[in-house]
Amino acid sequence: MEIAFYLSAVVAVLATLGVVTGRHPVHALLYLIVSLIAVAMVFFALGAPFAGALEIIVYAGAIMVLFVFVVMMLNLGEAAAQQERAWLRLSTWLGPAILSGVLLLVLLVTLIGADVGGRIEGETLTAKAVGTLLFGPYLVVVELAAMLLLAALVAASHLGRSEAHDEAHAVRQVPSKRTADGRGRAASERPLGDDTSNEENSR
Amino acid sequence: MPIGDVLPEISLTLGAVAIVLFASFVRQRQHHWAAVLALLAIGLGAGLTVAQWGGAPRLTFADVWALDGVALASKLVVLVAGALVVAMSPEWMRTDRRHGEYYALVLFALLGVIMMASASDTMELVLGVLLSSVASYPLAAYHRGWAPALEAGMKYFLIGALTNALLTIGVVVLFGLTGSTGYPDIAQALATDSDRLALTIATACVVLGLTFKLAAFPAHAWMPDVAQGSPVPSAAFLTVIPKIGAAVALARFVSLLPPDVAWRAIVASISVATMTLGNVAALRQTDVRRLLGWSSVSQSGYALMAIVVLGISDQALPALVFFLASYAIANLAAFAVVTHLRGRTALDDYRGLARHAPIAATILIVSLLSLVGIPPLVGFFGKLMLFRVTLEGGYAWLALVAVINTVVSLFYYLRIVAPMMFGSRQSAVHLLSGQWARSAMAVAGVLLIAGGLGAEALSLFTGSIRFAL
Repeated sequence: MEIAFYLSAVVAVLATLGVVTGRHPVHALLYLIVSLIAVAMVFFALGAPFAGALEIIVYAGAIMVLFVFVVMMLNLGEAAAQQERAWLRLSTWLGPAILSGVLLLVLLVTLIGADVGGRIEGETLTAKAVGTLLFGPYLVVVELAAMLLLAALVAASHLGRSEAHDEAHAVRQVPSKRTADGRGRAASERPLGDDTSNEENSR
Repeated sequence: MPIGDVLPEISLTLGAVAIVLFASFVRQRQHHWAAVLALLAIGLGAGLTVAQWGGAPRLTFADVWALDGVALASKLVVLVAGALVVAMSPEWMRTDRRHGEYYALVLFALLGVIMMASASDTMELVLGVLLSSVASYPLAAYHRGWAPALEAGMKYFLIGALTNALLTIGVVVLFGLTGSTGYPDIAQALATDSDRLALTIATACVVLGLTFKLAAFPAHAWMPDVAQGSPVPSAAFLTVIPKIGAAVALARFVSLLPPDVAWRAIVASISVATMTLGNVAALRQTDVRRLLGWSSVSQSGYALMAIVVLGISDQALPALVFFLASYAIANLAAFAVVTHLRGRTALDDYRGLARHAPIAATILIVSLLSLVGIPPLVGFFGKLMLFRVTLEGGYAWLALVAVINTVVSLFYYLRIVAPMMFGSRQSAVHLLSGQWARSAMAVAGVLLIAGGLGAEALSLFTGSIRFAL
């Protein structure tokens, strides 16, 4: 497994370099996906297939697809690439590069100087072991995490909805509202609680 | 699987899910029925909690869920407070286009708070804090079109994100130290020798994470804005209910720590800073809702006193729960009156209220006096128990600071009361039309008076509660 580890580690480092230096956002994202898959391979090589599969499904799959969608919707053209090129000047990356170099130096010294066995191995942590834990001691936590996601969904759908959508809905609702309410609420009236209209009136 | 042990939580969950579905398929004008559904779910949950009362304190579900007197008593307080908040909401939220979801979010937040109070596992604690936070952000910003509400929600969210991250870091460090997330295992691992520096850092992170829900220094900054800008029923919820869960969770967490970790000093200094800051900031407020927000910051400081002497005085936990209950009732009564007055917040709007709306004015005055701790109101007994356990625990200086703060607080509470009694007004008082808010206010007022009269019986009831661990 050692050769697989080193190969995928090299791919991960190169792909991450590609993310940092890439001028086109979509290219950078594609490099990032490659980098994440390479990290997943590292996990596989280290004997953690479950973490590797999660890395691919969650990061390379779900989150990166979201990233790509956002970048595509932003519709960055040649101007963005120009800007990136302008940012990639020596003066910009010199500082971070020196700092990273120091970190690399520390790592190399530790690796060479310390008494490292030089073997890569570990106990295989399977999906079954994780599942047994999740449905054993953590059962209540897992179930309530589902409730957390549901609450977050309701919250996001309440806060994330645009005003324009509400206005359109209000216009559609007017005829029925007028007959039922008897008061003929104006369509443009904002669907707010009582306090706002009151407080605005009182000032 | 001991399903019977989490029946109250299941009833809240089912209620919340039913309300989400109900609100999706029913016309907006019918959404006030969601409030009835929420009240049913809360009532069922409270009934099932009462049925659990009296058993021996124990841990269940592989030791992650505490079923002891403290958890049950705080659960009951949380549920009663939640029912009051639900009852004061329907008329306020009537014009909101997504009225129904509000109750689902309230139930989710209640569930999160109950999780915090019952958590006997750090992961469970994190999830409880997250659940109650996530469901509370939209509650604070429920009127999306109104800038102050959005500002309050945003502040709440930003401080929440930071402190929740701190809490998680603390839990991770603790896991690294002990190799476990369950409280029994953590207590066992910490009893033997472990890295004290790392443990102190983990403790500080967890305590800081919980100060957010407590609205205690240094994560208190959201409280005045939420009290002022959020819809008043949400403000009533957020100033009271998360605090109960967080205080119990904090007490449960610090009771695990070995004595040589300086958690008493940490909590005591937070307590002093919180009560002093809250009172000093409230002194010059001319905005009633903001003043109530700062006052509830200072009340968190008082509650922390009981946690400081945890383990020294055997009555610390009963005092904590009793004080939280008395604070909850008084603060909810005050906010119910503000709701009834359509969220009026300038001090001038309260001028001459005693003549124009005598019942509302009486309830507001009684609730403010109870917050100060004037006998024979319920707040007096809460503070009396707090001071007694603090003195018993040998923290006389802390009790002295609290007494000075209480005297100072009398000044700003009376600043609301005086114009209400002796001021005069020309304009009419605008009240929220409908029976929900009025009944919620009346029930809160009755509970406030009854709590004061029955304080002895209540304290007998809570006198023997203790942690399962």
